[in-house]
Amino acid sequence: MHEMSIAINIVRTLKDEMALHPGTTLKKVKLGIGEFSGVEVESLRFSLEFALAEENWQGVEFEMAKTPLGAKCKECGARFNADSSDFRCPKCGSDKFDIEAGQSVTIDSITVE
Amino acid sequence: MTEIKIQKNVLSKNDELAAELRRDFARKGVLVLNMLSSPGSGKTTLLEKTARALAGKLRIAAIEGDLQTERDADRIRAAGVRAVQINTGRGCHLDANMIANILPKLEVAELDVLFIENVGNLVCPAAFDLGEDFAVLLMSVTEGDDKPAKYPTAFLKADLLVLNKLDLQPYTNFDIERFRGDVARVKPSLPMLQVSCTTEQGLESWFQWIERKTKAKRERPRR
Repeated sequence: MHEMSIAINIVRTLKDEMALHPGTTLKKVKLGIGEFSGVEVESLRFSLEFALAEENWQGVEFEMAKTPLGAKCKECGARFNADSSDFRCPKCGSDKFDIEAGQSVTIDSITVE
Repeated sequence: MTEIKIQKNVLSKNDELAAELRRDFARKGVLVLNMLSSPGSGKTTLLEKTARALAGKLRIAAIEGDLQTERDADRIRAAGVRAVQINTGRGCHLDANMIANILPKLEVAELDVLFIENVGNLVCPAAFDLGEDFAVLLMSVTEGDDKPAKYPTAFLKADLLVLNKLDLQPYTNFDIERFRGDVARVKPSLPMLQVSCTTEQGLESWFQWIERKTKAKRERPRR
């Protein structure tokens, strides 16, 4: 259950970001939830409610999209989305790769008014 | 209404701090191992055995992460190793900030190896970089051979897999070949050691792995 610390980190990051846009109100936040972030979407929504209330923020809509596990092959350089049942480069079959996306939670965009 | 693109990692603050810790560990030439496992897989026992076996060869310290109690730190201290305890309260993982805060209690520059015993949990600790050189995943045969399929995140993060309680395997339905196959589907390059902390079978290869990595770290610090 680390969704609460993720939620608090999201709100903290949003506060920093909103400081760059004075006089506006936060309306909507798009989040990317990594398939391998270990984050449960429903639990994150629940935790966000508390984290937002703490800041007295209301009426913020959260849109959450899954981010697949993005990898880059160390042998041939191909970029691919790893399937959770088979972690191999589809181009050359190598099992050596760097993970580039899908292990974290990202704030992709905010909508302000 | 204006949409503003941000593309910010929510844990970027943790990751930045972890990168800072990693640079500091490299300067001091200390090997840092982040030990991940379920509760009861034998992390503390493995550390006790390791501490006793490597005493006099390597200077070791341990950070013990647990929800409550000093019991693990006490056990490690009894094995002759300097240990500090982090109690996370209800928290399910350690983060880089907790490590940064406790480091002043350890003389890191005087160490060869620092073990970080993470909170027993195969999900949350995998998300938090602590600045370690390697994540070591400890599993035991009594946990069942289906864990790679159920908890791929932890296996994906791991750099070394240690399978413990091998002496109990005849009393379980744990199938080592099936386990090996499932691990290979998640991370084919993940090396595995098979050990028993009770009979000490296989422990020698674990000690050798640590000695090899310590030497490499001292001679050519990563990053």
